[in-house]
Amino acid sequence: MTRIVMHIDMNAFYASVAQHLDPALRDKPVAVAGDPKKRNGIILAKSRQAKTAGVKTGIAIWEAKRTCPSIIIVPPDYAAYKRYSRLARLVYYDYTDLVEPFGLDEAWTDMTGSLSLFGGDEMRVAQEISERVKAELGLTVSIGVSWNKVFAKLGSDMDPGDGIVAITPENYEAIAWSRPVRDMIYVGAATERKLVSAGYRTIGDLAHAGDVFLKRRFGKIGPMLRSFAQGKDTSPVRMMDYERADVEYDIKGIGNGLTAPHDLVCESEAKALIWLLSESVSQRLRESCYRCRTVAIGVRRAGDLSGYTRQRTLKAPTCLTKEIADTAMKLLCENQPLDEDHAIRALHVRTTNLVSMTEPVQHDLFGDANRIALMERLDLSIDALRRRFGNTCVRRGVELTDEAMAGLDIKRDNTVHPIGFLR
Amino acid sequence: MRGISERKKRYVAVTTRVDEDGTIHPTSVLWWDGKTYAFDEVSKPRRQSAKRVGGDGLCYTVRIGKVTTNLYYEDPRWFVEEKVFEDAL
Repeated sequence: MTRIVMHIDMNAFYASVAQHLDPALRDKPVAVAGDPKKRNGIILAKSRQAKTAGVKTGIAIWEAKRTCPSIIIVPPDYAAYKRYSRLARLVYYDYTDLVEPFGLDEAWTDMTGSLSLFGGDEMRVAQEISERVKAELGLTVSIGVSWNKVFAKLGSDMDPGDGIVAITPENYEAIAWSRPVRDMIYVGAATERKLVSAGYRTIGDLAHAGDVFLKRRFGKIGPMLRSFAQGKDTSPVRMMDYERADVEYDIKGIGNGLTAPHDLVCESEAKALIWLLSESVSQRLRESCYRCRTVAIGVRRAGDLSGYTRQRTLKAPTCLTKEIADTAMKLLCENQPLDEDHAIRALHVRTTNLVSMTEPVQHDLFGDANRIALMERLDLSIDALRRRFGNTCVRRGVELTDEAMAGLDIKRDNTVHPIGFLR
Repeated sequence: MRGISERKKRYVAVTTRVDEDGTIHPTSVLWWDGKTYAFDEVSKPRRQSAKRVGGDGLCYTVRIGKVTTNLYYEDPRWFVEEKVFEDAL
């Protein structure tokens, strides 16, 4: 039996919520952007009118103002986004129990089992969902209807308005195969570059790609991409907890990153930020009862805004702030000199390869296990103090070397964003 | 008859009765001029977007005498789409 999978995508979600809450913003170019004073003033989302005017996500506010002088900039309101995301999902839950959120504004639903309860016509159900979200929440959605998740998503991405696109076993060759490969989920900039350079421009080309090329170029992902393009994606729509109706998954890694209040031009400045980030990361690690085996850093250069990432696997899993910070600092120092010619715009510290704290640790034969246990207890006591008196009640001396950074509370300002397609 | 030039989101004080099962019944509204208006009839609530003033909530259609209007429960606040008359400007 073929499945009925829908992908429902709320159009220009952040900007639409702002327009919904304030009628004065409707039909105007609106962009949601961060705080320019804290130097994270980039465009996070834009309304359809702003998009038409040429505003792109990720550009700086001044660039947006130059391309579209009449643009209205509004601050983000994460609580409202979460609320509308939840309310929309509650609408979907009226039609099926299989609702898998993909970020705040998108969700897959599997209607295979419940469709007959609603008349058996998937297009009319899609129409009804679209109308209900519009009437109840004042937001528009585009819906892709297909028999697998990949084509359902492709369908919802094809109509930028509040349209409904069906991709069926009869028409997918005509509709999907003519689209550029980039339109398919899991084909990003890098994959697109590799595919196009080998002459695979459309999803149809990819569907006919050969085994040898795909395996050599992409490893095991290659044949998987091809099966996606052929409509052979069988991944199920996962059932999520109805009560929570929130985005929740296993933790794969814990990380924090920050665009520094000013460019980092010497070792002590970089060190201060590395420690600030490591402190937040390791504290979250301990709160979730994990130790990490791998520490990774991401660096964005101030000069050309290019970046790189490096990682190192430790001998024994750790949750110590000091060990994570030292490893991150070492990674940074090994990969670039820290001076004005190599100024850093943003840093990222990430821990992956997590193991539960309840698992026994195989200590290094030549290390000092007692000392590590003591340090862990010290870190946990500091965590307890911070829970009671705030994250800034106990601070590292190294964080205080930089005035602009001393006021930051990275852990408090952290929000957890969801997920990728493959898990 | 005066023309309506626009609508404004007006938060209002509402008296409600809450049943044993948690159902909320609004019974009267306290308007900003100090008058209390009792509802003669209240519809079943539905979720609806208040397009004219922005926002959304559980919407009750209420009747006061001959007039019917929409009352929105935004949790925890209540609001109406207040009429702004042309000559009031």
